[in-house]
Amino acid sequence: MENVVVGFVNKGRLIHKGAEANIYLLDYMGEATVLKIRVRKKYRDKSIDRYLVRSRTYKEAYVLEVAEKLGVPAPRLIYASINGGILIMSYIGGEILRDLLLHNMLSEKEKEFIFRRLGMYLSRLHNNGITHGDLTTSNIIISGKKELYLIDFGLANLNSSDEEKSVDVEMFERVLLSTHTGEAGKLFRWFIDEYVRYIENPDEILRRYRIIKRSGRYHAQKS
Amino acid sequence: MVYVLGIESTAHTFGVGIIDSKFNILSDARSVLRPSGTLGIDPGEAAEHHSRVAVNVLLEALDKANLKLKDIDIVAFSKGPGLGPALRIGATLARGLAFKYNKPIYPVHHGLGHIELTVHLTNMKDPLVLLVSGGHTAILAFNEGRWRIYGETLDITVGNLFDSFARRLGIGFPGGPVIERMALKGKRYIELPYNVKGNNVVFSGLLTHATDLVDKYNKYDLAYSLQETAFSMLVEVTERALIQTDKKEICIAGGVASNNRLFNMIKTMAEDHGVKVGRLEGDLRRLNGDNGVQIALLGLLYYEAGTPATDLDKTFVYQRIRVDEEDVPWRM
Repeated sequence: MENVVVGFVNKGRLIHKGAEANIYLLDYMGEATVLKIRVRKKYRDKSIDRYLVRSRTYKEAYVLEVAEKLGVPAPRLIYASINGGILIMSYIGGEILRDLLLHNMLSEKEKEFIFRRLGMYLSRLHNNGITHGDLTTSNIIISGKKELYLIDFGLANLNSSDEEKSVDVEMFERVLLSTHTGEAGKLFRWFIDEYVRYIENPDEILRRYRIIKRSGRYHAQKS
Repeated sequence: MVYVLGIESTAHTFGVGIIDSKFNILSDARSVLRPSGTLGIDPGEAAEHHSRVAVNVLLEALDKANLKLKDIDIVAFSKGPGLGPALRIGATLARGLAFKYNKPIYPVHHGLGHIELTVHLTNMKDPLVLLVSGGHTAILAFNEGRWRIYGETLDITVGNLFDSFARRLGIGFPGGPVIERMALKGKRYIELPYNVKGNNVVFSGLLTHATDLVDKYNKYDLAYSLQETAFSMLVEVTERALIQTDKKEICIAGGVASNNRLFNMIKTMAEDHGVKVGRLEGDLRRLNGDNGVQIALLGLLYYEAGTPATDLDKTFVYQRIRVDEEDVPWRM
């Protein structure tokens, strides 16, 4: 099968060269799909490389399957080769949320809908022990119908503690503050409002979130 | 010609550097504390050391530069981040000099000094900076008036990681160079926790796990595995930031920049992107460690950018202060 997949790559069109993986657009048995190959990194020890490629491919495949069961919109998993670092998923046509926000291409109503939905979807994953590990506006696709899809689950944790869930939330807030500075407060409030509504033990997660927020390296200590 | 004197005292090092307005380095005098105990640096002990050596280091710097105190035009000192008692020794000396000779005084950010010194001496225009030292571990790029952080450690620094592990092996400060030599003799990779969160790294689990294994495994293999794990994490987040920022140069700054394994890993990664990598080489390599020259350079840059000197009664020190809170008027 892997040879077949490698054969496909030649027919596929490279659409994105990321830090970790290359993404190809591919016609797979008549369906528009995305082929994601985690590439070997020459700079690191072979055992680390093998471990990272395998564990991240496995986690991503696992989360895609769980997401489908939980009704969290994400690409549908079609094929996975854990050892080969290869995933084939359904193709989601659309734009990256980051770009839509930066180019001001969404109405206030659409933004509110998207961020509230995101809060709900993240709480579903969290309630099932899954943290995203890299939740940014670059890892969210907005389809033509303005529906949101979560992608890039390679840094996910499948057995997350409350601490890891609050780190997920706090890191997302920091991404909003650095990338969408002007409207970060508003976007985060929509998101957290809905997240808190559905998350199990919200008090504990919010308590830890506040501690993490204060404790970044050299953040001024405010009383 | 304008002469700038910079005083560094954030942690182990008490340093005085003197440069001229063409950025010729006239002197770089230092005294480094070797902690007596097994627990790392003690703020009181550092302050005691700095106050003991301060005058001699100052005189050595002036002597090497062949200048007298009255020849100095600008005084700069490290305002933080660092250990409060240690910072106060440098600040007090700087205030005394500025007051007695009526010179402009600039309190400057220590980490910003590492960045600007390395970027200037490697002649880079607009690099992504990997700042790796005992006080900092961060990936930065200049954007809208400041060095913005694109990734950083969420707990301890890579310098802390190596120093703490080295102490467990009974090696004194700085531990990094010894770990680097030991790692060369390592033959086998021992699996250790690899913890990347988005663009950020987390080292404390790695430290705990590695120190727990000290009595169970060959220490050379452990040193190799610790270094490989920590550096793979750093190179991964640097590559992520490189793609996000689309920079064409990478500059490695701070004490850990001297590590050849880290440099070669970053170079291997950068080659894939056609990106140039620089760090201080040859005689300049000693400037990777904390020094007064990096402080003097910032004094000069603020002065030339027309930033007014700070009033003496506002020359505070800060134990915690982030690089991305500092305005960088000379790059605007």
